[in-house]
Amino acid sequence: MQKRITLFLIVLLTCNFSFAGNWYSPPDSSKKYSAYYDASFAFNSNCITNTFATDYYLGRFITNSRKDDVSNAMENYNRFGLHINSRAAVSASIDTLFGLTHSWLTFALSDHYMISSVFKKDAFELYFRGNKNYENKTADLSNFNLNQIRYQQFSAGFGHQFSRHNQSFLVFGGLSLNKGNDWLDINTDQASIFTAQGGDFLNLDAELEIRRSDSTSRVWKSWKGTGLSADLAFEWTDSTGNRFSIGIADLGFIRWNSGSAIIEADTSFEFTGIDVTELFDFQTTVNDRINVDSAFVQPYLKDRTTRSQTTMLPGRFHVSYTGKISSSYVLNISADHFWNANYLPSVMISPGYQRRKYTLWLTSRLGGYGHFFAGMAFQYHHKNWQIGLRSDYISALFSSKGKGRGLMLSASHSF
Amino acid sequence: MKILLRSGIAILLLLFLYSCKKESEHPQWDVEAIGPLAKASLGLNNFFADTLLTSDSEGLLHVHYDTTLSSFNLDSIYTLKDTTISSVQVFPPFPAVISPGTVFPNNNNIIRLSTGSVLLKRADISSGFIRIKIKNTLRSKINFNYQIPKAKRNGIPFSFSAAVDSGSVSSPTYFSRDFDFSGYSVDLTGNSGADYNVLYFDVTATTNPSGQSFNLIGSDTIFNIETSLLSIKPSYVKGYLGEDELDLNSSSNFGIGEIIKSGMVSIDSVKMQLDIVNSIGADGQAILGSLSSFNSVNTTTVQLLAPSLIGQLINITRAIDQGTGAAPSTRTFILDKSNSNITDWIQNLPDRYSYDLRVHINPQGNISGSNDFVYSDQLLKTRIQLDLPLKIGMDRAVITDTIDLNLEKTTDFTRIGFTTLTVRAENGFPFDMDMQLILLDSQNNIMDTLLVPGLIQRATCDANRKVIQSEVTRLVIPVDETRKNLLVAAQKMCIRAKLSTPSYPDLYPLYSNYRLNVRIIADGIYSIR
Repeated sequence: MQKRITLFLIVLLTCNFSFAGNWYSPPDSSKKYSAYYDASFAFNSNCITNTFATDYYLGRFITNSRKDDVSNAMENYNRFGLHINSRAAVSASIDTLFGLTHSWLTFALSDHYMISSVFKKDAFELYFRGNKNYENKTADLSNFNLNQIRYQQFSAGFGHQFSRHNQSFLVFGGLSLNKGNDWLDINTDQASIFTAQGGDFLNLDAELEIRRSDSTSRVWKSWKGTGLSADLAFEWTDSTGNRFSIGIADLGFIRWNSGSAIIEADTSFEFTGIDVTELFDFQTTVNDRINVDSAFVQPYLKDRTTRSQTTMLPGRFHVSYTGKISSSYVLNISADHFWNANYLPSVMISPGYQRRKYTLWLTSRLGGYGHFFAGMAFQYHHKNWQIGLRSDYISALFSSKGKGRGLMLSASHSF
Repeated sequence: MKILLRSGIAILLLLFLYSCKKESEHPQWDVEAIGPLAKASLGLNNFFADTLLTSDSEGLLHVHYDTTLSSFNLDSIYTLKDTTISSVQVFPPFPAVISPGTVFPNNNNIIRLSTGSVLLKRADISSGFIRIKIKNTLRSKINFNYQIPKAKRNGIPFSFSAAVDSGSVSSPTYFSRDFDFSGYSVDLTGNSGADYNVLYFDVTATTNPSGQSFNLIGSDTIFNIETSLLSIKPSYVKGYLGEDELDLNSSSNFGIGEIIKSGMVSIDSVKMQLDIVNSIGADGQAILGSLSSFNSVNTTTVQLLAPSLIGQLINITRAIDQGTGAAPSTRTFILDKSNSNITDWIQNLPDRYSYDLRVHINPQGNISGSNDFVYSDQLLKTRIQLDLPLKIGMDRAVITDTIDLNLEKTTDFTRIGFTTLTVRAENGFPFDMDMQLILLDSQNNIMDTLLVPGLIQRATCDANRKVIQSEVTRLVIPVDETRKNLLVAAQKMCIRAKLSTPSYPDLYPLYSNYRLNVRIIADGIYSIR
C-alpha cells in the first residue's frame, strides 16, 4: 500500500506542462500573488518498448519475447531517456522594481531526475542476451553513454512585462542554487568484445570511463554537490494574439564533492580464465582460494581516484510560436533540445481548439529519444485557476510495442 | 467546475490503480554466455616437488632424490647413566671437644661414571646437572666448601660453598641444591690422570668460627654428602669407545612410489650414489646386508643386487678431530645398471624401502690409544642420492591428487542454469592421459564422476620421440541441475590420471618445457538479477 501511494504521488508530482503558463509566469493582472505547481514524467526511446521498460521497472522477469521487440526496433545508434521533474513556485507582483513597473518576483523549489543513454545494438544484445550469439564475432560497444543525475533547486527570478504598440513582451531571468543528489556517467569511446569460437577466450578492447558521485547514501536529502544555474525567457505577443517565446533553462553546473569517483580503464587484453595452476599440485593438497573479484576486475581497472568533479546540468533550450488560425483554433510550432542528455532536437506541431475556459490540443512530436509520437493536452481556466493535463505519448498506448510514455500535470492559482 | 472536479478525481483514481506494486527489487532475465572460467598450465613440477626436479644442458628433466638411509644415535655408542655417590666422614672413636673454626678436609672423593665398556678420558657436558645433598648431625653450624678440580668451565673448576645449620642425630639438618653442569669440560682421568670414567671432588667442612665449642662423642659423622650426576649429556667425549656391533633394521617412506600409485614404468637408467659418512673418531666395518624396495599397492619387493656393495665388508676409517668438530671420512659407492639391478629396484615404484645394516666399531680394538672421540651431533650416516633421468615409458601409470572444493563461495549457483563445461586440454607431453574427476563428500564417498570418457590425446613426436606438436582435446561435461547440486555440495575433488606412452616399454624423454595447458570453458544460461 505504501508503495502504491508513493508511486501515485510520484506520478502526481511529475508533470511538466509547458503549454499553460510557466512557473515564471506573473500572477493574473488583478491579483498580487500566484502559486504554481507542476510535475511530469516522460519516457521514450527509439527501440525500448513500454512493456520492456515496465517489466524492468517493476522487477519482473524479462522474457525473450520482450527482448525481441526491442531488438527488432533497434538501429545503429539507439537512445532512451526518462525525465521526472516537479516544481512548486510562488510569484508576487511588485509595482515597481529597479524602476520597472509590471514586475514580479518568483521563488521556486524543484526536484529533477534524469536518466538517458545512447548505445549500439551489440551493447543491448550482449547485456540482455549474453555473448553466445557472438561466437567468432566482435561485439561493438563503442560510443556508449549512460548518464543519470538527480538534483534539487532553489530558484529565484525576476520578471517584467511591458507593452509597445499593442504588443506585449515578457522577459524573465532566474538564478538557481543546485543541490546535487546523485550522479553517474558511464562512457566508452572505443570498446569491443570478441568471443572466440567455442568460448576459448575473450578479447576485450576498451576505453572506459565511469564517473560517479559519492556512493554513500542516495536518499533525496543527501547533499553531495553544489552548483548554480540560470533560466532566461522571452515572450512576445503581437496585437492579434500570436505568441513567440524562447528560453533557456538550467544553464549551469554542479560541483560534486571530493568523494566522487573516477574509474578509468584503457585496456586491451585477452581473457583465458582464472589461473588455478596452484590448485593442481600432486605433491600436496592445496587449499588456495582464488579471489574471483580480484581475478576478474582488479587487474583490468587502470586507475581509481576520488576527487571533486564538475558536471554541466542537462539544460534545455526551447522556442515556440503559437498562432491564431481563427477565433477558436490555434496552431503551435515548437522545438526543444536538451544538452548533456543524449537528446536529439525535437520539433512539435500542435493544433489547438480554444473555448472560453478550456483549450484542447493535439500534439505531435518528432525527435528527442524516439521518433514520432502523438498526444493530447487539456487546459482549463476558471476564475483564478489554471489546470493542465498533457501526454505526448498517447499514440504509443495503442501499440503493444509503443516506445513512449508520459504524463504532465500543472496547476496554478492567483490570489 | 463540478465536471472538472469529477474528471480530476477519476483521473487520479486511474493513476492510483495504475500504480502497480514492484514484483521484486531488481529486474531479472537470462543470458546465454560462453567463455573461459579457469585455466592451468601444468608442468612436471606439478607432479614432483620443485626441489626434486632438475634439468640438464639439453633440457631433459631429472628426478633427484636424496635421503638418509640410517643415522645412528648416540645411545647406540655409549650411554651415561645417572650416578649417585655418598661420601661420609666419621670422627675417630674417641670423644673430643671441637673448637669453633675447626677444619675437616676430605679430598679425592671419587665418582665413577657408568658407561659400559666405553673408557672415557674426557667429556664436555652440553646439558645435565649435579645435585648435592648434605646432612649435618653436629651441634654446630658447618661451613662446607665443595670443589671438583677437574670439571672446569671457562677454566674455572666447579665449586660452591654452603653453611648448614647445627643439627643432631635425632634431628639432622639438610642442605640440597641442583647445579647446572652444562658447559663444563670434565677430565675423567681421576686424580692420578691415568684413570677412566672417574671424576673426583674435594670437600672441606669447617665448624662455625663464631660459634661455640661442642663435644664429639666419638664416631660422630663429620659430614654426610651425597653427590648425584643426573641427565648428563655430553657434546663431546674422548677415550676408547669400545668394540661393539650395531645392527640397524629399519624402513622408511620413499617419495617416488607416493607419486605414481600403480601401473608400470620403464626407465632408461638411474644412478644411485651411496655414501657412508663417518664423523666418529673410531674405525669401523660395515655390512649392508640388504636394501629392498617395497610397493604396497602391488605388494612387490625387489632386493637390490649389487655385488660390490650388498653383503660386502666395507672398511670405514675414523674421522679426524679438529677440536671444534670432526672432519669425516667418506666411502662412496656408485650403482647403475652396469653393476646392479637398480633399474628394476626403481621400476618397482616403491613407496617404502627397508635395509639391514651392521656396523662393527673398533674391530681391531683400542688401536688409537684411547683417543677415540665422538661429537654428539656428528655421528655415522648412510646417505642415498638417486638421479633418475626422465626418459621413461609408462603403461597406465596412475597419479592422483585430491583438492579441497568449496565452489559455493565462488559464486551464486542458483543463478546458473543448464551449462556445458568443456575441458580444453592442450597436451604437450608424449603420453595419453585418461583423466577422471571424482567428486567426494567429506567422508571421501564418491558423489559423481565427471569426464566420461576422459582421454586426453598425447602430443605428436618426431623420430627422436621429442614432442613437436601439442594436441588439443575437448572433453565435455554436461551440468544439469542434479550435477550442479553435486558440484556445490562436494567437499573434495579427486583428480586421477592414467598416463600411457605409446608402444610401452619404449622410452620417451621428458623436457622441462613440456606443459599441459588446461582451460575450462562454460557455455550455459546465467540468470541476471
